[in-house]
Amino acid sequence: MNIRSLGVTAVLALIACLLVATPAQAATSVAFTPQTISVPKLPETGVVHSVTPVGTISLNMTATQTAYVVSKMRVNDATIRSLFDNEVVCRGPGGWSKNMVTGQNVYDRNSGSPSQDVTLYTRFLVHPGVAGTVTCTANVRGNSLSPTDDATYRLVSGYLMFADTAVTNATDGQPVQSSVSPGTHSINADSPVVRLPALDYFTLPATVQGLNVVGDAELAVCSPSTPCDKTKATQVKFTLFVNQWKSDGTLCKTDSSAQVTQDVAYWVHHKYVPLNKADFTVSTAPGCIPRFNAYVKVEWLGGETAGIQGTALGLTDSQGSATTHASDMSHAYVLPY
Amino acid sequence: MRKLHTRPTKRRRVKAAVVLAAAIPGTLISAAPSAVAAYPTTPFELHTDTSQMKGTLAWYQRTIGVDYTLKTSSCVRVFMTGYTADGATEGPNATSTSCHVAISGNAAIGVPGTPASIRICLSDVTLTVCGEFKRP
Repeated sequence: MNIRSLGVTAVLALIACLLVATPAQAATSVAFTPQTISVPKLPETGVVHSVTPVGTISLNMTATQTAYVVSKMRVNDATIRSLFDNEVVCRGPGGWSKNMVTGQNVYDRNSGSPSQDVTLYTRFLVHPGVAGTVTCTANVRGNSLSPTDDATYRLVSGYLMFADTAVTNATDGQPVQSSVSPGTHSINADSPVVRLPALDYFTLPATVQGLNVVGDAELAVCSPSTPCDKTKATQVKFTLFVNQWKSDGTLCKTDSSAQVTQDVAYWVHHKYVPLNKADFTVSTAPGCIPRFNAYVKVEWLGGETAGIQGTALGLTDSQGSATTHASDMSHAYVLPY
Repeated sequence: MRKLHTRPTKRRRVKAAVVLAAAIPGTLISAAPSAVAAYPTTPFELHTDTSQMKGTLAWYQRTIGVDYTLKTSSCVRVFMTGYTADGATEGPNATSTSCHVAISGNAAIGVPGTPASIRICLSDVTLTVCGEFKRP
């Protein structure tokens, strides 16, 4: 058997293996089919979202297991400026659920703005705490920002996947993650700094050598109930701080290298701001212990008022449905290594 | 933390499973072990949005050999951890951060016993993707 035929044999064996395995195993990743998303116009009061499921994945999990779910969506070609939400809804055994959503307005296809092509990630840790199957569905949520006309935009690519099925937990057996509480947490001239999202003190197993820390913030331009000039923008600086501590309570090590400053126009309205510290190495210097905290320092620099969005409440399960759910928005988490 | 070895890219004739590389980051491919190796081997593949790693795992007595190619259009670190069947490990081995490269390399991942699995993670500027590969 020569090398070429060995390769062909291996491919055929793989295909046969997949054909056998597929019916017995739920998909743990799925690529979204490109499609046109229809979104309704603004009603006279309130807001109505269309909710379009675009992919589902499942994973059989143990009681102690933590998995990492990631949804990426790219949209463009909007007929009218519209809200685009990338939402993931996860359900598990015993009624467990965890949901998350990021959102941003996608500008119309003739606007000439970079905001007419938007990519959003929604990503978090899932840990039902009891054994069973976790199923996660990705939804495109949205609405036209016109009071008179429905709109469409195009989901051009994306995926939903379990990017890791064996995330290391903290010593308390829980995953390290935290979401910002409901409401918009304002920043303005009088109160220019908030530290959100934030991970309170946590301890990792001594075998951990480093941390990948992610802080995903959702910035809202113009805090509710504040004066706002819709022709202007807000300027905000985001810095992800990661700290390691000593046994005597003093600082062992800190990092603030992940940072970005955003200048966001009112009409973008919601701006997804991801920060990622991929390689915070655990220090073994004298006195240092594997105890950490982390947060995103959000500094209002000028312009219109702004805020960090917390968990969204009362989201309809489908368009116009009576049943609703909550989805976390700004949040942070850790992938130890 | 030990550094992994790299060497200039070398084309290989064996293309098993490479043609099935999927568009979804993190999609893992495992296949039947090679019939010609003294120790069992398995191909592997893992990718984020901007980085791709693929190669062959060789399952020795106390070590997992990793022969790989790594391509990235951003910056990426690779972490590899070998485990015995009962979860014993010597901890992760990590590459230094590689930016905008196409390289090949090899690594020997030590395991305190008979290797049963290896966990490989790619961590780049936007995403970390990990896969667990088991001894055939």
